[in-house]
Amino acid sequence: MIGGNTVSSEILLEIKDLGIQFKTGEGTVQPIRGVNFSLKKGETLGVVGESGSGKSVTSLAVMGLLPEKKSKIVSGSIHFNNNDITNLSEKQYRKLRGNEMSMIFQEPMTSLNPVFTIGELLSEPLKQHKKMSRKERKETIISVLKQVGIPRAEEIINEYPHQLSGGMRQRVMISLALLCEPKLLICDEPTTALDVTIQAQILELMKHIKKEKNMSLLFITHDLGVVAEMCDRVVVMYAGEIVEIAEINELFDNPLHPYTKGLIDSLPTNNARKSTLYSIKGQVPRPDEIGTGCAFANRCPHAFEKCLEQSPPTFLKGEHLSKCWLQESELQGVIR
Amino acid sequence: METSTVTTNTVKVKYKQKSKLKELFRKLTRSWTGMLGFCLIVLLIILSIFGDWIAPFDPMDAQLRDRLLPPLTDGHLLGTDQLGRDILSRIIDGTRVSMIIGLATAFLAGIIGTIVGVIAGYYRGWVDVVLMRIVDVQLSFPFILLVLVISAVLGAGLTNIVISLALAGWVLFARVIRSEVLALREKEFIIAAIATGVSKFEILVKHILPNIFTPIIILASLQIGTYIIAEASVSFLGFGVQPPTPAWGNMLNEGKDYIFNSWWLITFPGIAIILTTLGINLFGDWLRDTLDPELKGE
Repeated sequence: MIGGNTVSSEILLEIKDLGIQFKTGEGTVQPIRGVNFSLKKGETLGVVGESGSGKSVTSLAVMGLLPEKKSKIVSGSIHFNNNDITNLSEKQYRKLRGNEMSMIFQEPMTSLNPVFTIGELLSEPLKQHKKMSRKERKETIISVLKQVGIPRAEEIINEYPHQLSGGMRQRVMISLALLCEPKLLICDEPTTALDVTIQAQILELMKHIKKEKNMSLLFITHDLGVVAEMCDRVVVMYAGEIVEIAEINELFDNPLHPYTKGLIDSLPTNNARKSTLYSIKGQVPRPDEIGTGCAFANRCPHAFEKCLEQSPPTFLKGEHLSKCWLQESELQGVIR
Repeated sequence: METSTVTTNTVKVKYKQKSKLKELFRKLTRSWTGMLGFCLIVLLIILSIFGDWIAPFDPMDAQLRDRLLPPLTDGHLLGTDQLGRDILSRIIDGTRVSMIIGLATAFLAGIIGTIVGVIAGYYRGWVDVVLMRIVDVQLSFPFILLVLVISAVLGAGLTNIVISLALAGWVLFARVIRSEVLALREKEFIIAAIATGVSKFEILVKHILPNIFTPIIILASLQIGTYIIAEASVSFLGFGVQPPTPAWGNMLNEGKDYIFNSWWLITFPGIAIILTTLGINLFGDWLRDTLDPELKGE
């Protein structure tokens, strides 16, 4: 059961043809090229890919957290709740952050400021966005902490982050993100730093909260197991591009892009003891190494001449989108 | 009914605050180094406030007949100097000047250095480049030379010596604080705070400043000793505190001519400087350990 029943058709977040450029010592590189996807209200969208595929940069762009001087959105737009937020001023963005959209970070150990107590940390977004008395704030904080399953919340608010375990800190991070009841919650690998049992608890908790508050989740991870657990739809990114978008079951049953196939094959399974796990050879190319042709061509087991010469367009098969020349033969409809 | 609840509340709050201070003091008693530093500082503060009543002789009273008396003669516990003035009384009286110079300079230099370091480290860009080049230029001059130049321009006197020491000393703070801020601004918790909608300025004041408190304290406590000694060197060349006002620095310098036959002239002011620096360092160390939440309870 993947809370699919609460997904509405209204679109909350839409990214159109997004391109992001970074300045480096040797000129500019473009780690994000032509990214298109949309997130519906109440939906959980997974974004998967290896390190360096551009998932985190995309999520930071949505939050407006890209380093100002070093990066630039060179093309495309980001729409949130039917407003173009691509070129919002810092001041306008601040009203969104923590209020309409929140983010949970990967590393709960370093994401909480060590000099503040949990109560002080949690009162910050409320002070920023809501007009509340001290007492109301305290009550809200305690109730949110209880929602995320923290026992003895009344005492925890007087403790410092280092006094809590990793799982507890991630719960605090989640409650920090939930305080103002945002419409969009971006999770940047929220369980990567946790051990497996805690990971399962946190995922369960997030699913539960998402359903309760009817939020949209943008779930960034490299763990396909987590994706299968959490998401309604999946975006697969490779080297700054989207290579495949599909509904979750469709993606696992019928992956179209060789990269997605490779990712799925490299998962360990519990019914067959493979002696060695499959791995995709090579690494994600650096943004400055990408030439003409398909970015995945040099690692692709099915690559042929055309792949090296021309970048593939996006092929659409029903709701299932993929970017691979192999689909040309079964061509259903071409965008661009 | 209404009033009674209010009173119990205030009583509770008061009790809580008191217990916090008590808690801090209880922690202090558990660390003997911290306690030693604390006692030395308290002693110095008492001496600088009540020095006039404590000193057995008038520190300015020159009895040329009693010059260069060794310690423990004629009631002069630490002997007399080349003009027959009681050394103990002069050390006690000099505490005030040395403490003012050490603390005021560290405070002033700390403030200037922190402001510059934080701006350079947080806003980066050309501001950083300009400020850090100024720091570089200043660091390429020897500290004492710079103090001399500035105090030569400003003239002698207590206030001016503090200003010139601070103007020469802030660069060290700026450098250290900048690097701390540079490391901090890339920390995930800062990005996480921005992601909750906190403004840039608030990030700086509420999230970064409390985190650099520790290095500021340590650096300041280390520098106080340096400033007291630097003041001595400057006084030697006539730019510092003017004689006959006793300061540990100029006592050292006046006494150095007699080092071979009257050792007590420089030994006791030297010990006073060492004890002061030691006390402040020990206390600063303890303070850091206690205030840093990550080290709490260890």
